Amino acid sequence: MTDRARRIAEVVGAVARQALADHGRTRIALLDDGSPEAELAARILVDQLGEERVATVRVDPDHVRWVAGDLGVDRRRAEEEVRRLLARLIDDALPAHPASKTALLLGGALPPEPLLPLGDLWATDVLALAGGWSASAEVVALAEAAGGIEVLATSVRRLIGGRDPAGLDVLAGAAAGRVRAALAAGSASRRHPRIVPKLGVRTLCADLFE
Amino acid sequence: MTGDWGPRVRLRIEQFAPALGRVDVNLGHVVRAQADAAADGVHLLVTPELSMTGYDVRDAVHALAAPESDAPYPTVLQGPDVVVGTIERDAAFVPYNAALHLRGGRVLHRHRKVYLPTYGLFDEGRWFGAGDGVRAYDAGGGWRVGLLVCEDLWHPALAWLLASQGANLLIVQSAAAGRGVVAGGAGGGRFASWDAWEHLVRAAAIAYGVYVALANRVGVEGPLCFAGGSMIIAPDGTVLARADDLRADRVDAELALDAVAAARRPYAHARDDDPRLVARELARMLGAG
Repeated sequence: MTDRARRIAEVVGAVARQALADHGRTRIALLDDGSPEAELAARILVDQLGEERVATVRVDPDHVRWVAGDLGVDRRRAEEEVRRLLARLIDDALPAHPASKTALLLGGALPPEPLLPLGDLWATDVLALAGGWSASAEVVALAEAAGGIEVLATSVRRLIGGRDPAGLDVLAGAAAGRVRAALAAGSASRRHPRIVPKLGVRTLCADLFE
Repeated sequence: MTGDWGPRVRLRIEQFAPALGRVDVNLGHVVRAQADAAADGVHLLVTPELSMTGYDVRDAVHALAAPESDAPYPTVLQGPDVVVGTIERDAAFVPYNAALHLRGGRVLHRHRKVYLPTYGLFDEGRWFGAGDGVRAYDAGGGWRVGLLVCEDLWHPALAWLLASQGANLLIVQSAAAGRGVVAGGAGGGRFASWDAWEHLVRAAAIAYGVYVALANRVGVEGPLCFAGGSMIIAPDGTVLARADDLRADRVDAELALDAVAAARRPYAHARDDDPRLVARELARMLGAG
């Protein structure tokens, strides 16, 4: 583990520990969709808090197929909502969602889980730490339109972290417009804070922006 | 050790995690630390910003604010001097983020934080009144001290004002959260924000030929991890002591007036500095408005 990875883990672990104390809970219920983010968050939390204080919540796709089928709900969304429900049903657990900052900023409304342990790590940071990254199909499409996740992350980081109004100018015109629209779509929910361990310069729900 | 400062003094920074809103718990910690400091021959124990109350006090600010008073802190009576961070309110019931230098439990000097950060993650301007001055003061044995609190150091005019009043020891309390942990490449991991702090304190020490003691806190409040890394800097800019990042720690250094003299001898900055020139230029600038 690099010094940087160790320091990130220490901060995430310390904030998660304090969040458990503040909420009077004994363990984290981490929504686990099998993504690199979920794997990374689980690894950090187990390392920092101990296995007994982390419950990873997975669902068998077969078990929610009827929900998606009967109600006409998108399968991924149905799985997410079932994981969410199961996490809330675990006694003494504080639900946590493993999404990255990129996914949170560009993916519409923030998830309702009170703890977002990787919420101050860009997708590119997750890529470096976990060997992969994920986000909703819309965000993945945005990255492709931008010319890759590196280009997208750099431009959004300039806009948000650097407070540079021209941060998105490196993107092609259409891509910049789509990124602006994606940012706007989630802005209302970002006014209702979650716990995001502060790692960078401007942190969702910790620093005031927008 | 109460007040018996000579040309050499031993300073200790007590880097710890104040409990939010728990003055009784924090005062107990400081009293125990003071007893340890007495046993170790320490003359001055420095604690972080708002060490008595915790940082993110919000609406509890009024409940936690103690009336400004020179009455003794009953449990901090004997032993080494202590610099604590607390909330004081004035006669108009305005609460201030204050640093108090206690000697024999009584207030030898108080500094009210002048620059209250109210941007980004900070909201201090909502809770506190702003101090309106800085004064250097005599602590005995030839030591002249200046107190600053966190953001005050990012306004270099305040350190200059204290140096111009003859300070040879600057004490800076802080509650600085770690920022920029993802900077520095894969081998990085030190908070980028802490490099900036080190530049600031070393620059002040070198420019003015003064000791600088920076006492930062650790612990977690909400999403913030306070970064620790407290340090004591010699008048030539040497880092004499540096506390652990993120964990409770205490660090000591022996301070000597001889070292202040030695650091200033090669230069004439203190001799040549001209407050009148500054006053003239400020008058011109402000008058022009």
